[in-house]
Amino acid sequence: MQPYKIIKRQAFYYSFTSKAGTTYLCYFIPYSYLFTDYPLIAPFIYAFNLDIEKGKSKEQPLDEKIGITVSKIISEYLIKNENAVIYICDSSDYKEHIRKRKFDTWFKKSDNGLIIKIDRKIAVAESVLYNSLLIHKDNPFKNSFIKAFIELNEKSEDK
Amino acid sequence: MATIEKATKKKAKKYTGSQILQKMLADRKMIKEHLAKGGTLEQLKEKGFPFATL
Repeated sequence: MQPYKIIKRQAFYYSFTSKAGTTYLCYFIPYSYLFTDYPLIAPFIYAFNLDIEKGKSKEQPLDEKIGITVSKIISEYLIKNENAVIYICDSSDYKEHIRKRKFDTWFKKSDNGLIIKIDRKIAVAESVLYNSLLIHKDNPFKNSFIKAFIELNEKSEDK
Repeated sequence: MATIEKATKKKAKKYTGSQILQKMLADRKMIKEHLAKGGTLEQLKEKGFPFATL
């Protein structure tokens, strides 16, 4: 199955429109300033976000091509850049576990062995923050990223 | 000198794991709300939000 046509709007900022007419935005945000304990790898740490620009996700029927397209964007990003990506499941509507399951399914279906995914969760107040690290298997800073990510979750005061 | 010291102190700020994740999540919520109101990522970038640039 082919992904939807991906439009590169700016550097690290992409969009695509599904068959149902919903436009999704995929973008990467740099978070070097939050990782002061890891100066060597901090400039390469980004968060990945997926948002809807137009249309409603609730009306979206099951569409496998959405996951294929999102996976392709992340995969190509990690192949082209020596960066690591952290994905956090939004918990504002208490549907974080559904997002995690969907994201896990997308990753599993498109897993070609190139991208490593590490999952963690921390408890914050009444919600759970599911978060994942995504990194290319040949990234030269792979071990440092993984160590930092694991420590990030272990350092949680609210765990 | 005072400015340099202040800048150095700011640069050295440490975040706990949950603070980092919550900051990321808070940004995510802010962007989501902005988009829901019809705003664009370009507008946030113009306002200084640190989207990635090459």
